[in-house]
Amino acid sequence: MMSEFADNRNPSIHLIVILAHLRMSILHNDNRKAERYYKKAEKLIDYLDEEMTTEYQRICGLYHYLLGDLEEALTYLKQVEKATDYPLMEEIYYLLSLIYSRQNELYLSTYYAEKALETFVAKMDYKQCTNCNLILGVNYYKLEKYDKALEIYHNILEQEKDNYSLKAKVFHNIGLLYSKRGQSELAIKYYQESIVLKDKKATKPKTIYLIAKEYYRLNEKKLAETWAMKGLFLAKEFRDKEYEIKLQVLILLITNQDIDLYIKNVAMPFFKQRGDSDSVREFIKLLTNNYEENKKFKEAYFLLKEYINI
Amino acid sequence: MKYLRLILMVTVTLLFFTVTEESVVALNDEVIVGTLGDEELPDPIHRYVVEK
Repeated sequence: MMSEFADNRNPSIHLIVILAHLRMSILHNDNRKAERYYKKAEKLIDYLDEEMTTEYQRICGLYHYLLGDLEEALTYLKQVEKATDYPLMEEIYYLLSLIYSRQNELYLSTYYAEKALETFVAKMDYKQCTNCNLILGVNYYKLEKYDKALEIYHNILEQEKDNYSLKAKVFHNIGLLYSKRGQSELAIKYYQESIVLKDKKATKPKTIYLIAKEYYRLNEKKLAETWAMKGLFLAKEFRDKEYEIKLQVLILLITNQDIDLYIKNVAMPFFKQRGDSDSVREFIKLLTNNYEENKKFKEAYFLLKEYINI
Repeated sequence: MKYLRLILMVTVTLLFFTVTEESVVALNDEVIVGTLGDEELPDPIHRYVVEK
């Protein structure tokens, strides 16, 4: 259908075709294609009519969310939220809840998740209800309400017996929770169950990274390195820059190499640009530790000052 | 009295090293566990909405 309109000279119709292509590229996780269509769409925004503007903003919000630029995604989706007649506002609430959860704005995330959940329940969209519950579970985990988070996770596992990709996410999150509680063996067991269920290879580096981290924590350096190398290979294959960097830092730590330059020149600029304050904080802690061990107290002082301001 | 002071000094020194050692371990542990951004959230909704 899109090819039928591909050569249309009317810029408004051309823009709709481009937006459809952009949407499809996002759906297929094809970041390169998506970027190309996004740039094309940007040049034609003057031809947007009122009806399409909201749709354009929604797609741009989604595009930036998937690329990890949460602030930009938020700007677009907040504009959609203002449109009073948008027919699927619960989906915008759902997206806002996802973004706020990733930004650690947990009260806002919970507020939007519950708002979305209310409409999904009324519409009997149970798949989306489960997704909202998963966000709520993650938020409880982040608020250190572990029992409540576990209760939600187990309910999802009970309800979604055949949804393997969702179960993989829940197992991953249960592993994370046990890791936080210091039960490394149990954490690794859940991470491994998650990996078995993950059908898309591209989603594996995150869980593999956590397994490697857990083995490093247990001082099982050989195992930690093997897993980290496996994760790094996959992260590079699927151009997952975030986990490529995280795994690279972990490998430097496992093999007792200097982390200073890599964190300062590669890791911190990348995560700062993405507005990922959690990762920046984690790297600052790592560097401060490193400076402390090498008695570079002045550098440690300046880093900690930066930590306070994040 | 002399021995008491000596014993006290040794105890305080040992206590100091124990506390320092523990705080370093605690800091390392926190760094390694710091996984706040590694959760698995559900996917965004993949629905195209112009079919009004």
